[in-house]
Amino acid sequence: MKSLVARFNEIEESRKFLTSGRISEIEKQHNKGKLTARERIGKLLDPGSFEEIDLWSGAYKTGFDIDEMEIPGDAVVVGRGEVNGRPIYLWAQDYTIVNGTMARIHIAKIVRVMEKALVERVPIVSIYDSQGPRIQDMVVAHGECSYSTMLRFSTISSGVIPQISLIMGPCIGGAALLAAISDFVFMVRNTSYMHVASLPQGMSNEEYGGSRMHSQVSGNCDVLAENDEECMQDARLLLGFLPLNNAQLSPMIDTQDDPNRIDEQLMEMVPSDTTKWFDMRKVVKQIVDDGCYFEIKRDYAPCLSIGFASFDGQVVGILANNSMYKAGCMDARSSDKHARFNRFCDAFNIPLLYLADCPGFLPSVEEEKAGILRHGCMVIHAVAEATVPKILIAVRKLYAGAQLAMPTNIQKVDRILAWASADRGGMGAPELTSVIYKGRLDRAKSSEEREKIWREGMERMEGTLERFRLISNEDFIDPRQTRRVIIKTLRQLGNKKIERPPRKHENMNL
Amino acid sequence: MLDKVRKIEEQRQRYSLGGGLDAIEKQHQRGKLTARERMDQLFDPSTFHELELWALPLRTGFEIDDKFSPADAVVIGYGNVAGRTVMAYAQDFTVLTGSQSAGQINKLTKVMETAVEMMIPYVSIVDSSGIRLQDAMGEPGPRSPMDGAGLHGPGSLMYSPPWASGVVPQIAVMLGAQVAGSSYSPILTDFLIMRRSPAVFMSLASPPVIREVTGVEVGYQEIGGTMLHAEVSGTCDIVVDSDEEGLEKCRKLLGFLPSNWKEKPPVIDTGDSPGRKEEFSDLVPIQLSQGYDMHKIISRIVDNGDLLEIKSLYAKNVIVCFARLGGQSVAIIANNPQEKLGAMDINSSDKMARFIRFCDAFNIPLIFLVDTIGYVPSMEEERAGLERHAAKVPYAICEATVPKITIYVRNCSRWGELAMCTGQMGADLVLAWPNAQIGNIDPEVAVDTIYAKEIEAAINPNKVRQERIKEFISRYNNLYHAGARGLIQDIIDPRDTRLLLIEALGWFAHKAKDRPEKKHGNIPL
Repeated sequence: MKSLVARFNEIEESRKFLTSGRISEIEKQHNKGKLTARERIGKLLDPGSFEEIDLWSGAYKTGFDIDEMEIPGDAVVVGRGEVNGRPIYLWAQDYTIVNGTMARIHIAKIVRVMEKALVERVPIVSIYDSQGPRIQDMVVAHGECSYSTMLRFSTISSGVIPQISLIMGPCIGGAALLAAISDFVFMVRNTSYMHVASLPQGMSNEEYGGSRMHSQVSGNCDVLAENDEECMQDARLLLGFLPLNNAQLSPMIDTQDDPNRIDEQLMEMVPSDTTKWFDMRKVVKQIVDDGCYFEIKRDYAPCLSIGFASFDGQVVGILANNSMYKAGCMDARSSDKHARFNRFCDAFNIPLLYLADCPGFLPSVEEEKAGILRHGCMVIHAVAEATVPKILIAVRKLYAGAQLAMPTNIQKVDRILAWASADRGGMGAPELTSVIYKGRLDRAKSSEEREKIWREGMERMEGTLERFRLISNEDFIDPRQTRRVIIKTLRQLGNKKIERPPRKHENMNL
Repeated sequence: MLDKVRKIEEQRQRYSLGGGLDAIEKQHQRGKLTARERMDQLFDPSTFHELELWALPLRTGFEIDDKFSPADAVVIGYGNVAGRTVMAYAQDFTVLTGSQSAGQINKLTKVMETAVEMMIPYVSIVDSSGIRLQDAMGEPGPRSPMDGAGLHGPGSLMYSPPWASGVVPQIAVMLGAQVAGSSYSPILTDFLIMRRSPAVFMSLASPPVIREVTGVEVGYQEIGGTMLHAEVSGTCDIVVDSDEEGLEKCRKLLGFLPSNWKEKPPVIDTGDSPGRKEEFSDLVPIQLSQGYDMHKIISRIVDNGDLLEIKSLYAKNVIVCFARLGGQSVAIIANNPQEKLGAMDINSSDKMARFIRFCDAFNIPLIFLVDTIGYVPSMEEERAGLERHAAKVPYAICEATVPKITIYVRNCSRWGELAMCTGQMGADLVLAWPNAQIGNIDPEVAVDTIYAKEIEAAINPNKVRQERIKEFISRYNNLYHAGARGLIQDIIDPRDTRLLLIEALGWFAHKAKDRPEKKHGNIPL
């Protein structure tokens, strides 16, 4: 019999062998500008916190030549660890082993951590870097070890624990659907691509499903990182804003920023001429803690900026119209962006802060054909359904349909706090006069009488609109004190509770 | 006392005429029914009871105050549809063109909120010119009719439908025009029935606004007509040609649905024999490159060939419909190889996912008929966000806890299986017809990967390759192998499909499955 020490040493030897990897393959990975699975985990987690599980599970036998190869861990590293001292589960595909291809044990290991993350109610991070299914194995694989099983676990976990996908290499076929179900998709410039349908002839992966395409055009990518290190840093940052599960609140963010800070700059940032644009993100950065604003989908539908920040340490989800793009109008794309983010925050108890400067939904033939009404309804649904604290800062324009996307009393927003520059309404005085006074104007016997009726109408409409500006906002605030007011308001709303009728789930427009 | 009753009845007559005989005549000339006639069409004979007929608009300080505007331009009340209680509102176009005041919206939202409390469906019959500006800008100060600020109603047109969503069925029947914000509330419902007529359209921006902003000349029908919403935007669920047909379709739709999320759909005697056997071999070509009409298959399986298709003109590569099997309501989701060989794309994904989620919310079993070539590469689809749209479907399927049955009819390739329900996505029964292909891997790709070394080393590589391909197909690409891998639970004679489905619905009748507690999931959007 071997001694306990000898047995332990043997195991450690074996661990060292299995985790060291093949040098030539690691070099190849580095030459592509990519880190290995283990290096990535090292950067994601707090030093020394990684606990790997199922290291010794190798590939199942297939009956083909491939059985002769060493496939340590079946090309995926799974386990648990800590980010800023808070637990997460993770899995990382190892491209240095048979191109990170997915096989039975590979999938079984992923499903195991998915299940553990759900049971233990902690977030899960998925690192994708795989050439797809390993055909030799898939030919004979049992259905239980399949993409379907992963999709099922991810769906059940949705809205229970945060799920973050980091696409750091190929992510194709069923894996692309799995990533899309998660709450946030990160991609790395130049080295990552994602597509469910196969690559069309004559196109490159970068053109067809590269990070640029997904972050600017398709809206599949939430965060674009320049390289692997930055991707891991960003993932750590994002996790810092999120609660571990849907029964908890976000952690308090460490900050020394003065809650009573007066921001004189705000008086200059917003042009009172509503035809002039400005960058709303500057306003956001001015009022949040330490200017730290973690923007999501920055390059997709930028007419609406969304992201996380904190106020005196308390995390909020921010939705802000940005007049730099499309004058801040809502369109079908920004509706999708709005609704998904709004629903994520609601699912995970993160209060919502809306900064409004929106002339409404974009009037155009293309948008109507693209179903802007149906997409707009997703936003209306998401906003109405949200039971977390909802605070609206009316910065400037809030016309027509904008009052549905940036919620007002119509959707029971908790606070409407307006700057003096706030402007509410739909139609102007002339349009209103011509409709409301139509009968009298038509019946006028002379142009003088007509003129008189018109003046009377205009006067009354202008007066009414002015009153509307005042009464439609709960109160006006000093813009310089926006930060202080938000912090106070968040505190007031800390106990908010709305009981909605029970149901299996809603049936929102899709 | 009797005298009083008589007087009240006289007044009731007067109020019930809405905008008066001339206005009613005009409405009829437009080919439209009046609000109260529509209620009579919707409900079982003489079951409709109107409430709040006596409501009158608030004073505005404008000329319209002088008009008699009974019921504030909307008829609301209870009635029966096939013997079951349903609430409804119908805007009365003969009164101030059915326009929405704070008072009217208070009545509309009361219908929505009461339906939730009573746990019964509600129907919105829409025929309104939109917001009544005189009311919005009226005395004593401006009031936003959208939030009922004048009356502080229980909800609002934008708050109450999401409140009711998934609790009780919500159906809108569009029989007039809607522009701008008012268009949203019919779309926030579960099903939107629209009449094909020059007088019916729905858009966010009106043509004059589009002209002013973009300089483009465009007609109402082009940006908001029923056919646009049915074929292009995917907003309309059912197209009808008359008021009567719209309300009849609404009755038929309600017949498939339970009253609320806690109940099961009603079972009715359809008179069709469960054991009826049908031949299918004439319908399904063996050649995978040949399309065929999946509607015919569905018709032969379900009771009396009777089905109610949803979004039949949108994303025709997939069929979603309600039907009955042995009298029980079922939802059928089927690829249609007649259109793009049943390929999956963004529009078909949106259509499927929404339908599946509705059926799951209201306890209607799901039956999947599979024949698809899966996701076909297209740059245009990719740019429009294929993955986040496609992922809604596996999400909706995995989320669903109702009985789920899958039948592989013929082809299933290129990840198409993940858009229909596999056993591992929670299908309770997975069946294959004898010609079905499931779990097959492209033999050429497979052989080139698996036997790369052997082929390279061979004296006659092509011969070896061909032999290996033949061997691969016979060994792996067949239903027995799919059975060995656990991808299917049985291979059946297509003629037994109907009986087996009816039996299986019985097996699964008590299915109860829980999900972890959550406010709501975060489905990709």
